[in-house]
Amino acid sequence: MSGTVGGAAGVIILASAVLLGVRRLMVPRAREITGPADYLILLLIAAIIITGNIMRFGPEHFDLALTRAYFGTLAIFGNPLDAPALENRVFLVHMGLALVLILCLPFSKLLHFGGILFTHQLIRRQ
Amino acid sequence: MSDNDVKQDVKQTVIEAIKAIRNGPRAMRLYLEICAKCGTCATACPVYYGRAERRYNPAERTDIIRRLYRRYCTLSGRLFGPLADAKDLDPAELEEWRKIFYECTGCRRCALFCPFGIDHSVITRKGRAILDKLGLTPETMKKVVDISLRTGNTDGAGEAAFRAAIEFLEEEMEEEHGVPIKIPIDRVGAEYFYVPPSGDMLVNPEATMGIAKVFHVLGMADHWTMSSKFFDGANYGLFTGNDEHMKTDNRAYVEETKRRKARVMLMGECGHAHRIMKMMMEKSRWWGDLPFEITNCMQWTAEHIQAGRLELDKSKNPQPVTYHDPCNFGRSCGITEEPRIILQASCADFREMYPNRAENWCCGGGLSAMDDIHQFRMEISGRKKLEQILATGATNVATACSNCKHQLTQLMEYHQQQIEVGGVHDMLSRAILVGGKAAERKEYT
Repeated sequence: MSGTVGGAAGVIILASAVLLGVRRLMVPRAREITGPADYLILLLIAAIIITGNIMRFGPEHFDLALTRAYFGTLAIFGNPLDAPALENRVFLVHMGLALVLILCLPFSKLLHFGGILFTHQLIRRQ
Repeated sequence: MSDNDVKQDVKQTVIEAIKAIRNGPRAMRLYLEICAKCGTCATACPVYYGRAERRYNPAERTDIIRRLYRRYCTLSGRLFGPLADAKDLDPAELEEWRKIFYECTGCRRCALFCPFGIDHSVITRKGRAILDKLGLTPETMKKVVDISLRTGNTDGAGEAAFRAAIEFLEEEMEEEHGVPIKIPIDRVGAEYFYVPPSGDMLVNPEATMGIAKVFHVLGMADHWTMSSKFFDGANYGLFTGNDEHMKTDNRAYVEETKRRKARVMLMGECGHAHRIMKMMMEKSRWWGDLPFEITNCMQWTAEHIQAGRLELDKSKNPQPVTYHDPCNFGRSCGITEEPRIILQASCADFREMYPNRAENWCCGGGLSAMDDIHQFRMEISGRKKLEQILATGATNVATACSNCKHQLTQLMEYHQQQIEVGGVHDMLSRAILVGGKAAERKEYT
């Protein structure tokens, strides 16, 4: 069950990212205000989705239980270095990029996903 | 000082102003932080509709300030520069700023449609404020502000001219109705102090006649007054971004209302003036508690129409009439129904234009109402409005803002349309019954 739902989500989110990219490139009013940061953040997200999908659909199937073990070790401040999950290179890339994304969050326009909840209130108050 | 020193000096001034944003209103910081560059504002913008070029894209105009803000006020901008959409200022660009920041009409339609509610007019005004600090405000704007601060009105008209205009209006009204209808001047202790835009005194005076007739019919001819020195609510400090000028101009009117000991400051058909009084001065308590309330003349008249105290003969305005919602009344102050109540009572064939009310398109004048950019206003920023008006088939456009009237009149002339532009109270003035009789009207057009 979780495999099917997760797999479908992986496909849908990839399609969404591609559509966002296509829109940015094809719609003049969006393209002309797009800067390097906008493309970079989109590429980063796309890369995370693609590596995720490779793990799921690729030839070398990746067992999700391994990630659970890895994060479990992290949660109890154990030594994660010899977790079997880390032997998978695609997972390493996927994980690394996700960390970069989290690092970027407070400094990039991605913060809008949180801000949208507050802007209208804030503007009305002032 | 060498040329280079001057440049450095200019740059320093701009950077100081950008850094000051950090201590400014939170809403403005939010506007600068949160834009996702989706391009929705461009679909809402009358200027971008008129010409889909990058320089007219609201988000791009805002980006001029935003790039500097990111460069000087954010960590990522300082560290990663262009990769984080940050850029330093080249003082040579300021010449271009002078054009770009005056190509936004400040209509705030973008703010209505932006998913985040980003109000690009606020950033436009910031850009203009920086230019003003550098003395780079366009000459025509500068002149209007100077005149306004010196004489109390944007036309630079003296007391004699004002009294002559009033006399003329009183004669007109007597001719129309056969009875004397007064416009009281400089009375102390009158209940209402009427503050029109000077355009409604000197250019389109019918609106002021309409107000005078309403007071006359209500038997309140002794309850209101105008001022021979302060008869222009227009405030160009809003246009140039100079808060000090805006407040100085505003204060003169508040003080005059106190001197007149009026209970109500009755704002005329002037969008920017009403918005500054009601939404900025009163709301932010610039001058503390006020001994009077602020109402718009349209709200006041509509109330009396609804209460059945005024009689109007619709057949005096048989032609199709449409109403243009001035952005400041419709979008910014929520005064949308009152003008319609007046027009529907005064006109036999009232037509809506679409979209309307808060979503109405800007006339294309607004904060860009300068003669220097006449062609821009006629061909680009006013294009959507022209299409909208033509679609209604109306031969008469009523609107409630001096800037809109000015812009729309020029727009109709430029595009050779036989469409008359006037005020809301103009239509009322032609239809109202005084002593059971409507005006014997000569052709004004």
